[in-house]
Amino acid sequence: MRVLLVEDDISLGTTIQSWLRLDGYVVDWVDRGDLAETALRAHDYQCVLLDRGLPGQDGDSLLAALRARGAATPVLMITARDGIGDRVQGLDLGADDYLVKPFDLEELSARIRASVRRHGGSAAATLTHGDLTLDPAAKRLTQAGEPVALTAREFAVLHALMRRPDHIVSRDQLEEALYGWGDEVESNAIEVHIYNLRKKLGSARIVTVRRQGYRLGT
Amino acid sequence: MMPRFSWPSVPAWLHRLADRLRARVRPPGAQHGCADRPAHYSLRRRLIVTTLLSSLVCGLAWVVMVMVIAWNETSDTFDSALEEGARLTLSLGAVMARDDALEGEEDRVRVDRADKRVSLYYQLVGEDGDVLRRARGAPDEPFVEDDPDNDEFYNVWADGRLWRVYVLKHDDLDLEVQIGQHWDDRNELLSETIEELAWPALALWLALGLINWWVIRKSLQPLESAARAIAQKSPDDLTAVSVDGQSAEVAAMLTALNTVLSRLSGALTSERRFTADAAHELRTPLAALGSKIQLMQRRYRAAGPNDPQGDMNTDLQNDLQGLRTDLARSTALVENLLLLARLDPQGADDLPKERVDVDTLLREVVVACAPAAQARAIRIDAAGAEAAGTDLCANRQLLFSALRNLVDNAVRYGVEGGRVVIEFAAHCTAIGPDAISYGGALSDARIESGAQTRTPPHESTRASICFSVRDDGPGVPTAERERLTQRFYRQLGHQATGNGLGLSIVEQIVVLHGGSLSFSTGIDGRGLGVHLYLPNN
Repeated sequence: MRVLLVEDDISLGTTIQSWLRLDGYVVDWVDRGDLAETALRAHDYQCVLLDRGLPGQDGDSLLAALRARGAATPVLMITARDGIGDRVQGLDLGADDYLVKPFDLEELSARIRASVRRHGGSAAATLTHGDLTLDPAAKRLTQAGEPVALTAREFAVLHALMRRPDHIVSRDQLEEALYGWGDEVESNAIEVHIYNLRKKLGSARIVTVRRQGYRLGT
Repeated sequence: MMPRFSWPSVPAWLHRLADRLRARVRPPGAQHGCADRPAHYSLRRRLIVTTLLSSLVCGLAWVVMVMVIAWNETSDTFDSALEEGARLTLSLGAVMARDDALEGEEDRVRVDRADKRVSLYYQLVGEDGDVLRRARGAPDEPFVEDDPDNDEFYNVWADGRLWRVYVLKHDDLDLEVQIGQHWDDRNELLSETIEELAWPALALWLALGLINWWVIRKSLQPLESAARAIAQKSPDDLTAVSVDGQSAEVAAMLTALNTVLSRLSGALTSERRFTADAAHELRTPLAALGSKIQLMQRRYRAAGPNDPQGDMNTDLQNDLQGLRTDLARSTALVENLLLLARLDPQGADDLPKERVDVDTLLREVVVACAPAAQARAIRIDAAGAEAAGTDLCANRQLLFSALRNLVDNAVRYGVEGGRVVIEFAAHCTAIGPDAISYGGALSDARIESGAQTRTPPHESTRASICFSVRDDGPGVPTAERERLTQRFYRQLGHQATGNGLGLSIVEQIVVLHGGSLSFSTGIDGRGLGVHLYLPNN
């Protein structure tokens, strides 16, 4: 899952990036508002962490522009402004959640999961498809109650597919979700992960749609 | 003090008027505490009295001058009339002497003197000093005996009256004329003039007094309105005092005052802004620091019981946890500073308030403080049967903060394994330092706890509601209690961690609600009791 982190404090930025990578997210980090704008136009993010006070372009106008384009991407505001008025204003601008510095990173992770979950139209903390149950918080997959061991990238591919079970997910979208800027991507990396997943879960689980991508089978 | 007036009823009248005026224009609130203040002179009274007195003195001096000049002029005129009369009488007398008809009793000149202003009395005196002929009413002895000088004026007593006498001698004959006038005639003229002048002068003086009084009163009114405007200034309102309608002198003073006010306001604002900015700017580095520690904790978490680096990792985890606790303290301090900076400028009027259910509030406070209390094995009792179903109008968040602060303090500074009691009374009657008198369920608790009631209930007792938080810890000596609400004040010799802002914040919150805070002894004569009074509205 790909997350955009917009934070101008270098130290806090690197720390959050490292933390979210441990969570298994692909994290793109920018420290300027205008760079964030460019990144948002170029990529499809599952979640945006947005600082309000930014050089280049401030977080508020960035969010307003994003919402004006009709993008429904979950946006979490991270800010040092904690007045009630600030919170209300931030949420009214289109933020899905609001975190005041200093915050707990565990809480940040939980809020990202919650935002993404709500965005996918589900209130439950786990994703279920047939006898597969995926727990994004615990990074755990069970098939008919039995845990299945997956690598982080295999988990990410399956998570992307299970988030919208009836949608076709393209190879490019999967690559986007798996690899951040600067990551080396083997040309057949996705195919390898799909192959491994089919081996672990059964070949009918993931259906290839010719020239379009993959979706979950029944 | 008051100079004496020639008219004794004036100062009393002026006194009363000035007193009444002063009483009316004295700003509200200035009444109490006046007794020990040094007495100030009244500018208004001083101005009125001095203008009236000086105009009276100048007026009198002017009258005297007029009288002197008029006196001199009329004296000259009368003296000329005497001379002229003497000359006429002498030439007439010379003619009569030649005819030997000089001696005789009767006065040839018959004049009815009743309506005459000027009456002259002549004597024709012969060589041996006998009066040969005289006017009726003139004395039969010469005015001036013993050969008076020729062409000379005399003031003489004769027949019991004072006379102005002129003596003229004939050049050839041994004959002289002594002609006299009553001084009373002249004096009467003068006193008539004085009488005619006095009444208009008095009327003018009264008119002057009234005009002065009115003008001075009018001129000083803006000064009083300015004083009222200045008295209303407070740290929350340091806006400029209006100089509209003020005289140039007062306007200059007010402009200078406004400059000071604006500097003060600037200083206060920048102090508040500095606190807010500093706290605000500290948040990001604190967040970065906290996040780094958390990241390290996650990275170096022991992989399992068989992890070869398990022991080292456990030590590291402990250190990191200690680091996080320290960081939490710094964060709490910053948050408290920010809260104080935010509370300061907020006037009590625009504080958002809502109905707060006391029972729920107390429950929440107990829940919030429970972990800390459990850690020190302290029991928290929320007493007060009146709390059920009672609600009050307050800012919920702030009131919660205040109560939580109080309970946190009681837990932190209480004795391990001790007790903290939170009480609520819907009707307690007294507000004052250490003066507590509960109308409700707490009266028994008060006697039992031995709360100090040194001060008798204040006059301005008003109905209020009261929250009390008491502990049975070591307490705070009475002398140090009033310092408790000072910022960054911490009692010496305490191991407990704190930042010394808690009670300062509580006081700020209580003041914003129009209430007050007082301290007493805690449970069973030990510990500290903090009482938070809020107006019952």
